[in-house]
Amino acid sequence: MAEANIRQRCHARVVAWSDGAGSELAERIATHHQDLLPRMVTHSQLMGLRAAVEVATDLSRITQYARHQGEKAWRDALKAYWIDLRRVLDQIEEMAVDVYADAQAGTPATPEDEAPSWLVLWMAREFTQHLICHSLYLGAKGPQRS
Amino acid sequence: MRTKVSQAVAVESDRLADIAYELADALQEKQAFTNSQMSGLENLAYTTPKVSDILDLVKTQIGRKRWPVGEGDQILDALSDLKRNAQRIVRGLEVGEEDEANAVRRVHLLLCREFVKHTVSHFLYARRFTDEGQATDG
Repeated sequence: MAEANIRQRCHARVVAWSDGAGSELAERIATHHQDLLPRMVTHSQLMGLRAAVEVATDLSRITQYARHQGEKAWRDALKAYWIDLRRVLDQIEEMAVDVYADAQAGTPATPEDEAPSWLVLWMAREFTQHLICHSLYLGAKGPQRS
Repeated sequence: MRTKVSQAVAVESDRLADIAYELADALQEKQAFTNSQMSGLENLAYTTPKVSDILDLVKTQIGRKRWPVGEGDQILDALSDLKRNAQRIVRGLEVGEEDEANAVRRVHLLLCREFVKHTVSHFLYARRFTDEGQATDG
């Protein structure tokens, strides 16, 4: 199947994933670490993550950024946040395999299958957009309200 | 199928108008909500293929303290609640089980567009009278 055709088929699936599982995952992570918002996971850090995701050429650049942020963190809770983020990015890579397999011919993915890096990056960008927006929102609401 | 969806969305849109007008009246009383921000919300709603993008814009406005939490939450709740309306519409259309989730998502987006359109139109209309009233008072 031609790549343009695959991309088109992936588009509908990524849109549905973003509105469903992607949003839910982002909201879950932001809510789980709500206590860190906005004092430890600051507005600047979220904007830094957004910038890193925008310029990333593949998923490894984003995980590298998250690892670096985790190494710099001086509180265990903050380290845990960045570790959690890396874990979720790994999950997204696995989810991308299913999306890709479904877009190709609706065939179920096997453990050996890999998704193309553009698709993984696309889904990671969708996820981080939702994560950043929901984190900003929870940060504005304050730690007492969810 | 497309015609049936359009008809069902049009009927639901008329039902939603009063709720949207009520929300718009509450928003236009707050100076934090500007005409350009509201037009921006409408533009985004009509160009994005995702409901989550519309919700993200509202969350960002609240997060950056441009919009107050209370009224911002009212917008988020109203848009999120439309999913139930979408589910009801799709059930009535009897699409296959496999396509149902996707159909709900698409109808939800269409309802969000309608709701935002009603809200923004009434907001701009009501704001004009508020602005004129203030100019006269001044």
